[in-house]
Amino acid sequence: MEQKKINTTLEEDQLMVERLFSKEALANYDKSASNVPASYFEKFPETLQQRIANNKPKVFFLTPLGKMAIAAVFLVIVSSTFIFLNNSVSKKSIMVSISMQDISNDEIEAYVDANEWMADIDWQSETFKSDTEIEQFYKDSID
Amino acid sequence: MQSDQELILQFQKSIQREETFTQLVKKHQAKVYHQIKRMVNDHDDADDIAQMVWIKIWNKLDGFKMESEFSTWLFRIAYNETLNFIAKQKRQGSNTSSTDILNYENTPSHTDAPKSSEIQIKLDQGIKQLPEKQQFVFMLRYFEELNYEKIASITGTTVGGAKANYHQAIKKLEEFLKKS
Repeated sequence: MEQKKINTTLEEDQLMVERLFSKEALANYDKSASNVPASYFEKFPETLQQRIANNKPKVFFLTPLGKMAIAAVFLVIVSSTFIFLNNSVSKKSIMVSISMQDISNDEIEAYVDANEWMADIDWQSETFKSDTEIEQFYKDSID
Repeated sequence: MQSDQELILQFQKSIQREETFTQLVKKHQAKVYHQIKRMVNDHDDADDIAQMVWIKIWNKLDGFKMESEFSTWLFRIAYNETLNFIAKQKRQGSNTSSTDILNYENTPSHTDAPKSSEIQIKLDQGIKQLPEKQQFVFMLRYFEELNYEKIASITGTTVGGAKANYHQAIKKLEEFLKKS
């Protein structure tokens, strides 16, 4: 039944719609949809070609002199970056050596005295760790 | 007048590409524009979509292998571009084109009889409440008088699917008329 209904000709398909709405209404609908500004279709190809031309990617052809100029600029950038990085590394190492020299022995001793208790804690935790490791080793060997 | 195939071959051999392409545009521009306009109802939108369609054709014509008719390929691109445009509009929340009622004032056969304009408005509203795919299939079948094989190729469905789309559209129009 459904199959029979679907196998319809173009005329039958159009008639189904025209029974719901009038043929005139459908013709009016199409005419309204087809309304265009004056000479739109005459101008359209030209407008389109302009838009296509604007969308094309621009290709630059460099002269040998231009290529050399770009290469020179590239070299300058690379070399200046290299020199800048080298300078900053050497400055850092100088700053470290100066700062170590500037600290007096008294200051170092005072720092050690003040933080002695911390060194004790570190030492204790290390010894505890080694004890547990040894215990674990013995346990493993017995098992 | 040269056939589509001859024009495409000329284009692909880079023989006067612009002129050849313009000939192709002139041959098919009206049909493509009208189909898009029936879907979006606004000239500026239809013009913009039509231009996008032809730019895509320009960019892809070199790779067109002529396995299908040029017009089928053209309508398929128009179908995709139109549906993308409508989806984008829906995402942006401006659904003006789908709710606009067509302007019948300039149509020569327009009569002042209220009954006629009422039918006209109902027809427009009825078509607009259809899903976009069904709308497109309905327009291609009723106004462009295309066969279902071609409609199926354009919309990327089977022949059975295209037929079902058309008949579902009629059924929905009928229901819409009963309700209103």
